[in-house]
Amino acid sequence: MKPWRSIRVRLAALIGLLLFAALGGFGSLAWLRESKARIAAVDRELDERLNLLISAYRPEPGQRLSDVSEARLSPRAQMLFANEGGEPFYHIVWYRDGSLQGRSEHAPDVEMPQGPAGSRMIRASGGMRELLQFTQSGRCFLVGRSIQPEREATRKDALMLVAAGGAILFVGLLVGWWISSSVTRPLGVVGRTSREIANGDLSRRIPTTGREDEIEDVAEILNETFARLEQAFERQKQFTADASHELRTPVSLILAHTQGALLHEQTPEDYREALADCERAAGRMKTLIESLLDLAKLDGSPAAIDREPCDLAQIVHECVVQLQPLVRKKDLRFDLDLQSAPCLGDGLRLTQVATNLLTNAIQHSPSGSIVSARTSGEDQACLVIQNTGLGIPPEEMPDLFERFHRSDKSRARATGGTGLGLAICKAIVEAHGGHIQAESVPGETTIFRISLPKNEAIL
Amino acid sequence: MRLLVVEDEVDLLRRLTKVLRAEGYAVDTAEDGIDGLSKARETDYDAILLDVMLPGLDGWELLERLRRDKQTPVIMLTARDSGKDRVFGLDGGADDYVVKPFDLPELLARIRAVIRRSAATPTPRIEIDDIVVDLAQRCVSKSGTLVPLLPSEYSLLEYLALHRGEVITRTRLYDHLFDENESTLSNLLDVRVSNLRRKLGQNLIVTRRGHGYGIGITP
Repeated sequence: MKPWRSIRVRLAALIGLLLFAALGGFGSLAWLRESKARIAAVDRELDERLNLLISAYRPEPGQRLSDVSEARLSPRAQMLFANEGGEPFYHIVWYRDGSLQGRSEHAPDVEMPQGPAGSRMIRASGGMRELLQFTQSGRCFLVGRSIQPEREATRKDALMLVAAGGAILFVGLLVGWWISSSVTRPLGVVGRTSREIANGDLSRRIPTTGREDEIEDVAEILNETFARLEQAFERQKQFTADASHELRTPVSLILAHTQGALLHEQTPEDYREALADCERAAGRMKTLIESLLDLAKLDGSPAAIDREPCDLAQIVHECVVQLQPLVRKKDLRFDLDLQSAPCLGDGLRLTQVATNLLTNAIQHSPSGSIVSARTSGEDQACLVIQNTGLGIPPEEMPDLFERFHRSDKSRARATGGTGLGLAICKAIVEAHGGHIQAESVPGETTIFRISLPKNEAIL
Repeated sequence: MRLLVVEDEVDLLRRLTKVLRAEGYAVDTAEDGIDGLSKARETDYDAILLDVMLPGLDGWELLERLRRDKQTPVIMLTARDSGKDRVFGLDGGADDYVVKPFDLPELLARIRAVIRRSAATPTPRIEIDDIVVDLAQRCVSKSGTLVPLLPSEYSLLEYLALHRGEVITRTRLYDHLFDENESTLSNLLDVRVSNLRRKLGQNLIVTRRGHGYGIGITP
């Protein structure tokens, strides 16, 4: 995975970025405040000294301005101007014409500044901060000081903040990495385990710790999906095994017929007989394959049943008519009670079910007996088919509707049964949202019952 | 040689019977386990082809009960092919086990092999002076030249050759060369004997008056 695609990396980077922004923001603000405060302190001192200076050079009553050539300093002013401790202040005073009225010892040599009379302004030049006052008489007072120390201090501040901020950011990044790891690690486990399961053993499951958080939810959903996949594969495997087993018989027939006919020279009559035998065997395979495909279709999408109004009574009636020749051959009788049983469904499919059940009943009935069929539509559309005969042994009842189940192996062969008839009936009935069940008293009678939801529209 | 085929799949039974008879075997049939068992007990077949899935009595049961009285060679036919089934079948007393769908020529070869084994002649050729009976190819040559025989003639020769040195009664010959559908026509046997003598020499098959026929016996 590319680093920038990883949630872990992005989350950690985001935390780092936020931390960086916060630290940077606060740090800058603090630093700016501090440096402003320092300059403001210097400015206050400049201001104080300027005021004292101006007072000191004010002419006495009766004195002319030009006569004042020395500062008259108050004791406080003297103290301040002595520059003891700290950075030295300097001052310069100019007459209107630019000649010096006074200056301090180490004042720099500068030109007289220009400015509007009566104004006070501050200026910074070459590492000095200077406060200027222009008087009404055109004089200019200047007090200044080097702000090198302040600049030094500000720079030191900046370095210290960067160092401290960097350290905090580093620790913060580590914590951020840990946080994002602890979120993405369980996701990684789910992902890796899922891939292993999907590629290999479908019977495994993702381990869950019972924490019931968002990731566990996903893990549970995946586990359920794997379970369903596993079941589907099992069913498919079983089906394939069953189907190929069932196909062995017709294939061995065809092989026996053809190889037998090819062993020696035969009469045309022999060849014709062998071919006819092959045709019969192939016909059996065809029936089997069609039934299997039918089942597969019904398995796949239960929703794909046509829904049209049908009536079970009508369907059964038509089946009975179709089956008359078979009934006569076995010398049986039908006992019918066909009340209207409307339902919604696929008429062809329902006919398939009725035909299958009626044919079974006929084939399993002894000669001369009665097969009864009843339909009714009170709260559900129902069909009940009953016949007398050997019945179904109790041990076979649970598997009756399973694929390839045959109650009597040789009988099924004799009648060409695939063993899929009841399985198909069940699939059709259940696809219609109904139920099918069987009861049997061995040696006496067998009953099959189908119920389908009523056709609501007719109510 | 007389065989019993027990198979409930009627089409397959018919085909196998037809093919085996064309090969010169006498064939009896049964479509369920009970009929099969009773026939197998009654007659000394040279081999039995036994399907496993049978109505009435399944193949395993039949075999077990048969083995209490008889050692008839049995080849089992089945659609079940797990290793377990094979072991079960062979351990249960079957002499061979063939899975459906089977190769017909292979099945015929296995029948021949199983008959040879039970006659204690594992090699497929029997030499009697200048006559060679090839049991695998089911043909006979005299002094190196192939002698064409009818399947029924070959069957008789094969039986006598496999039981060389024994006197075989006519009854026993009938039992082994004709199936239940043929009525006992004594001259059919004599006709075959005389045809064989004509084709292979008068001295091959020896008659012991009042007892029967044989190869390599004294008259």
